[in-house]
Amino acid sequence: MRDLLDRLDGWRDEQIEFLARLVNHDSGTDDVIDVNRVGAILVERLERLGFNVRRVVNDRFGDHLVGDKPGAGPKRFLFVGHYDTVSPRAPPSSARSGSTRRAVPGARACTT
Amino acid sequence: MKGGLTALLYALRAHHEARTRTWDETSLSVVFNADEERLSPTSREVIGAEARRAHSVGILEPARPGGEYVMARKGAGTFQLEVTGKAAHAGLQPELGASAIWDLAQKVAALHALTDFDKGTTVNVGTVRGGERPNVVADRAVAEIDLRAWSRPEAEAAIAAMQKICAQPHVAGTTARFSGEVSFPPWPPGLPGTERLLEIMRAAGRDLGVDVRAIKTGGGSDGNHTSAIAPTLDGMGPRGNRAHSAEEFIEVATLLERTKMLALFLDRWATEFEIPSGPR
Repeated sequence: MRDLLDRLDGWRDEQIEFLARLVNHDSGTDDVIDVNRVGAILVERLERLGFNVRRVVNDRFGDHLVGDKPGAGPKRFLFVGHYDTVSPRAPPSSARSGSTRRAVPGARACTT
Repeated sequence: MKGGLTALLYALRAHHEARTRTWDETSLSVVFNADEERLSPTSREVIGAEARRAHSVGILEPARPGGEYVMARKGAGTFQLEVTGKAAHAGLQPELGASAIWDLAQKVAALHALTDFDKGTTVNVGTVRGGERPNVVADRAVAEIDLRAWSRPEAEAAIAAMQKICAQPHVAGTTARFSGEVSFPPWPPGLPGTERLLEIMRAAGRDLGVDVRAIKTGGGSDGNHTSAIAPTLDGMGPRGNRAHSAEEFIEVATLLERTKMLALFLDRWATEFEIPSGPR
């Protein structure tokens, strides 16, 4: 457990930068090219972790990404997240409140 | 949601690089869909298929503003009401007209009266459009309606009531058409599978000194779909507030905390979660 936590502490700044990168690429649901550009970043990350990633193409929206990482045991866990956002072409993120809060349209958005 | 995706990718990376037993033993699926903000019309099926293959599901939606996980969500549906009337000059021959707006307005009043906060059933007419000019009796008016309810019977009762209201003409010469459906089924409170995942998350929280709480919410997510298929816990992402507004923000410090929670949760789930026997 300590090992996991130490690694994550060590990646703190890098992780925030990665989030900023995702957020600064807009991905409003109807902007399919924008959405797929963010999708490409996610695919690259998943593949780096050993996931086989399949793109589920549809004719209205960006591609849905389905990743699979087999394990030796019997159990399987599914994580679901979406990478389209409500706000199309949002303004770039900016620090606020001494940067403990960061304005990030789409970073969190989500419930419908 | 991008915060939740980031948290997951780093939690998994920690397991991957530490070569944990959890990583070696556990099969992992992810679905990152691109249409959730439109109620997942083209991804619902693939999410369902992946949920059927999985023993549990984690939804990466943000934590609630107080840091709570999400253990239940109201069902949600969108409905359309279109009233057709008869146009006429408002000054010359108003008696020949049938105002779609006047009819719709009375239906809107009745629809809003269906809201019952005690039961948690809400009906909101979110948009109305109609008419062309002030001096014309409007021959068309359209409303879009949002329905939320905690259970399927409650939703069905509300839909029946809405149908009745919409079928009742208030202005002679108008007709109404009502359509729509519940696109996010209710995820009712108290599902045993969700409770089990919450216990595991609470244990992960004790490891980190984080007090884990969970709430029910009226907002829909893909957890509405998966909770009917496999044990589901939602709100696993970082904390923020003001979703869907220009002031939306993330509490940056919670990104790391939620990432750690995800990593430890997965570790515990891999060893502690028991696959239920028998068919689902």
